[in-house]
Order: sequence, then C-alpha cells, then structure tokens
Amino acid sequence: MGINLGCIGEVLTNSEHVLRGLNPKHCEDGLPTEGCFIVKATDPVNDGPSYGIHLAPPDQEAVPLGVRQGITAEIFLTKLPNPSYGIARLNVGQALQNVIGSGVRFVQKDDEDWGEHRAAHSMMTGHQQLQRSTLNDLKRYLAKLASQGMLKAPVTG
Amino acid sequence: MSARARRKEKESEKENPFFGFLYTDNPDFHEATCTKPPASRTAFRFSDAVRYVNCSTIVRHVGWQCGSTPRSIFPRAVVYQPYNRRTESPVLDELSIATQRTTVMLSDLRRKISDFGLLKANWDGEDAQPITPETLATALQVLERLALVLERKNIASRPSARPFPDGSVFLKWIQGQKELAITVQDRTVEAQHWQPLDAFRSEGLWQISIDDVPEHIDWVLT
Repeated sequence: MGINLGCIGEVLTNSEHVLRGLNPKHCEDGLPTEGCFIVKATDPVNDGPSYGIHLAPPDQEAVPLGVRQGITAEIFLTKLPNPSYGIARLNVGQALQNVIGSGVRFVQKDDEDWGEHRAAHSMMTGHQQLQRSTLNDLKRYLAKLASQGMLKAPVTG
Repeated sequence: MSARARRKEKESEKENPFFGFLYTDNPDFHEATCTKPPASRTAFRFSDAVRYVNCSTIVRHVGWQCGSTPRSIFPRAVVYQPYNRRTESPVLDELSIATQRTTVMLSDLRRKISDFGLLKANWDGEDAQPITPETLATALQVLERLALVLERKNIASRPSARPFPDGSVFLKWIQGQKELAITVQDRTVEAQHWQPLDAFRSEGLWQISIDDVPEHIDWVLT
C-alpha cells in the first residue's frame, strides 16, 4: 500500500518551482553538497524536507489565476534560520524526473511559522519508500541541480 | 673538527627538521612534523621557511618563541622539515617532490577528518548529530587504506571529506568521468559508484569492509 499523498496537501505540478535553503555548513566552495538534501527512509511521511513554493515576479512568468500561494526568494530568505543561507530554485518536474512512478512528490503543507506565507510552504515526501542507493542518487542529483539554480550563494567563513 | 667535517655537519643540519612558526594560513605553505628540536634557538627567518615545505601531522608546540619577535605575529608554532633533498637525478628529485605532495595531501585530509570529532551536537544549527568516536576511528582507517593506494600510485588526487548531519563522514572522489562516494557511520562503510558523472543511477551501493576500500579507490583512479 502506498502513501496517500492526497491526505497531506496538494501535490505540486511539474511546471512549478520550489526554493531550498542552503545551509552554509553543508556547502563547499559556495556550492551545495549532498548535505543540503539529506533524505532518509525514516523521514516522517507528513514532515519531510522543507521547500518554499516559488513565486516569480510578475514580469518573469505568466501566473494564472487561482495558482497556489507562492513566495519570492527575498521573502523566503526571511524564513530561513539566518541570512547566511543560500537559496536554490528547482523545477519540480526536473527534480523528480528520475524517480517518476516511485511516489516521490512535493506537496503543499501549511507551516504556521511562516505566518501570512504559511501556504507557500511545501515538503518532499514519498521518498521514504526508495532504496538506500536511490536515496543517495536523489540527494546527489538534487545537489547538482541546486548548483545550477542558485539564486543566492551561501555566506561561508 | 676539520673544515670538511664542519661543512658536512652544516650541510647535514640543513636537512634536519626544526621548529618554526607558520606566518599565515596560506594553504601552499605546508606544515611538517618532527621530533627533533633545533640545535640552537636562533631567530627564525621567514626566508628560511619559504625554502622548506613538507607534509605530515602538525605538532602544535604552544609556547615556542624565537628571539624578541612579537608572539602575536605567529598564529601557531609548527615544525618544518626540509624537502629539497639533493639526489643524483632530477627525475628522482621530481619523484621525491611528488611523494611529498601526496603526503601533504594525506596529512591535510587526516587533520580535517580528525577535526570532525570536535563538532558538537547541532553543529550546523539544524540539529546535526556529532561525529562519534567510532565513526571517526573508522573514517581514519578508511583514510589509511586510501593512503596505501595513493602512495603506491604516487597520486596527489584527493577526495573531499565532509561531516553529514546524520553523524556520518562522507568522502567523495571525482576522477574523470567516475565518482566514488564512501560513507562511514560507526563501523559501517558504504561505497557507491557513478559513471559517467551525469548518470543519475549509481552502478551499485556496497557495504564494505575496511580492507575492501583500496579496491574501490583503484576503481575511481583507473
């Protein structure tokens, strides 16, 4: 029996983008490492790794009516533990293209700590069912993807 | 003592390791180890140090100070060992330098991994676990096996080493189109291969023994 993701929140579509905070302690030479994307089989189904749902400025993308709440990178930075964090933007479809059919998803999940932006919070889930080797494959791939989608470099030193 | 003997002794002294001071954190300025203090506490000259490079474990000898030079200039005391050992052949000289380069790299890596043991709980601000002594000991054993391969092949290529928030030590090595990841947690060592670099799926994940490490190092280096 698989995870019923419908009980958690809306599943993000392939055309959407998510934001990931990059802890400087897990970056090397200014780029994210696998340490920024730890995914484990023991992650709670309803409390997986956190991502923001990216809302690009209106002049960058056509935002259809009724789209879910998103968050800009600038506001996302205020939700991170401190301003030294970097930010990477990942396309949902691209991030999950190698695990299609495995049940891995980004799902919207309110985070009350985000206040008025609570609905712009999402998490990754479904990865709990992956084999250990695939979990390692995924975090390696996400780190590479994040390196290509950096919006803000982490501040180290 | 004859002039010849004095000259020979003086030449020999140049080869002896000696205590000195690291002026900067310049990574090109390698540190050394030694167990023999200098014959005399003469003033240490930076120009002398520039000629001496080496690589091994740092001996932190707190309290050493030469002459009247202000202590604040010297971030830490180290020991230097001459590298310019004269041989009969420039090829052998090059080999000697290459060998020392490998030793420098291994020394740096050994020191870096040892420092992981200083990380306390929540070292990343996100509830990261500390690196246990057992994990550290295993990681250093992996490094020793790695050293055997590198010294045999006389290669200066090196893996990166990082602590992970789950308390594991992660070594990653990219060479050409091959990528090797070794994860150490407590006594468990796992190796995973990717080839080519843009492949998503790995060629395999193996739980290995310490003695199997050289086989995986050989894979990434060949």
